[in-house]
Amino acid sequence: MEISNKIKILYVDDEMNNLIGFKAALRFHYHILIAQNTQEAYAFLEKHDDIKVIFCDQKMPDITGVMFFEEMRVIYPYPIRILLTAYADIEAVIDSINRGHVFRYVKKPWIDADIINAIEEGVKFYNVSSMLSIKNNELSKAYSELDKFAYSVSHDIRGPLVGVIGGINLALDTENLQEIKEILTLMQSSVNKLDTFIVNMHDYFCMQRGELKNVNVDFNKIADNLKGIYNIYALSANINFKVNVTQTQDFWNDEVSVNLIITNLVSNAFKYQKTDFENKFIELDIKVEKGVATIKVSDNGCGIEEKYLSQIYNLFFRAHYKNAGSGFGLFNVKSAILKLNGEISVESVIDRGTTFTVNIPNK
Amino acid sequence: MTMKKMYIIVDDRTLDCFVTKKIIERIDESQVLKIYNSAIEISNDIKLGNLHYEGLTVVFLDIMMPVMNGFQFVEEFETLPLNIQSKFKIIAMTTSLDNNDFQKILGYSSIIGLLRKPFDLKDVNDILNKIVE
Repeated sequence: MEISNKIKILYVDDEMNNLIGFKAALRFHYHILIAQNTQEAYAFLEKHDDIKVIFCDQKMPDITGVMFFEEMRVIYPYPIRILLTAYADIEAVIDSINRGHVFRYVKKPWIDADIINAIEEGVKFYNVSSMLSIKNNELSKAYSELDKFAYSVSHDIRGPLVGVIGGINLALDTENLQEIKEILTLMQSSVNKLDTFIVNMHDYFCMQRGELKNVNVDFNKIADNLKGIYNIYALSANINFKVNVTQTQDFWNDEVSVNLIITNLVSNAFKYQKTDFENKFIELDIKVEKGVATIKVSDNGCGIEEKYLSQIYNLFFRAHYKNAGSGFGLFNVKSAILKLNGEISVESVIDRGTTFTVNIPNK
Repeated sequence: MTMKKMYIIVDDRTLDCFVTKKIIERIDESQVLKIYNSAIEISNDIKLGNLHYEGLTVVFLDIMMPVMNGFQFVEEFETLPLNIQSKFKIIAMTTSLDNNDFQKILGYSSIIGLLRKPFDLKDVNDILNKIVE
C-alpha cells in the first residue's frame, strides 16, 4: 500500500518512549507522524493538511493537551482531537469534551484496540464533517451562480425574445414586404443567438453536474472535425486557419470536456477577428507528450484589454461590446479544465491578438 | 418653424434598434436619427463634442449592455458640465422585470423616463409627449 493512501495520524507526547511505542504498534495501518512538543506538532499540521486525527498527551512540560487542542483548533479546525491521559484528572477531561475541544479520550497506558477504535470513530467523524464543509462550499457557489442566472434570464433570454415580439408587432403593422423581410432577417439572428445561449447553458449544466467518462481521446479526429466546421468559413472570411496535431501516444480523458475546451477557444478566435485586417490567422496547436496534452489556440484578432484579463473566466462576463457572447464560453472552459485537473493561461494584447494555452494531464 | 428633434438610440441589439427606429419614424416623420451599438461610442462622441445639435436631443438608452452598461453611461454623463447635460433627454429602456431595477433607473436625475421592453408606438408616444410638456 502506498503511504499516501494511509490515514494520517499525529501523536504529540513529550516522552519519546511513548511516541516510539505508538508508532511501532500502528505504523502498518496508519501513516503516523510523531511530535515531541507543540512546535513540532504545528510544523506537521502546517505541512500536512490531511491529518485526520491528533492524539495528545495531557501532561506535557510547557502546556496541557487540553490547552494545546483549544489553541490549535482555531487554526486547524478539521483534525479530530483525542486526548491521552494517565492521570485521574477526569474533571478537566469532561470539561474539555463538553466544550468541544476534545472528541474523546483514551486512558494511559493504552492498549492497541482502544487506540484503533478511537481512530476509526474519529475518522468517521472527520469524513462526515469535512464532507459537510465541502458541500457547504459547493452550495454557496451554486447560490451565487443562481443569482447570476436570475439576473441573466432577463437580459440573455428575455432580451432576444422581447426583440422578436417588438419585431412581430412592427411587421404586423406594415404593408411593405421589403421591410417585413428585413425584420425577419433581424429576428432570425436574435433567435439564433437565443439558441446559442441555450446550447451554452446546456454545456454549463453538463460541466457542473455531468460525470466524466474516460476514453482514448484522438486529437486528430477532434481537429478534423473542427476543420470540417470552420474551413469554408475561414476561406470566405479570408482567415488562415492552421491546425497542427502531434499525438504519438494514447491520451485518456473525458472527450466531451476536452472537445468543449477546444471548440470554445477556437470559436472565440473566429469570433473576435479584426474584420478589415489583411493577414488574419488562427492557429490550433495540439501536442501530446509525457502524459500531458498541450492545446494552444492563437490568433491575431481583437485581443482583450488587460484590465479585463482577470475577469474573462467569470460567468456572464463580456469583454467585448461588438459581437458579445453568451457569457458562458470561457466560464465553461475553465470549469472543464478544473474538472480535468488542468491549467489554462492567456496572453493577449489589444488589437494584436490572443493566445490561450491549456495543459491537461492524462487520466 | 420649430427645430427638428434629434433621436439617438443606444442599444447593442440590432433588432431592437431597428424596431425603436421604425417606431420613432412613425411618430415623428421629420427627425434626425442616430444609432449607437455601444455606450462607449456615444459617451466618447458626447465628450468630444461630436454630438453638437441645436435642437432637442432625445436619447433612448438600453440599460443592459456589455462592457459599458446604461448605468455606467449615465454616471459618467452626470459628471459632464450642466450646459452639455441639459441638451440631452435620456429615456431608459430595459428588459428587466425587477422593481428594484426600475427604482434604480429612475433614481438617476438625468433619466426622465423608462420604457419596458417590448414597447409599442403608444408607449413611446406617451413618454415623448411628457418631455414636450
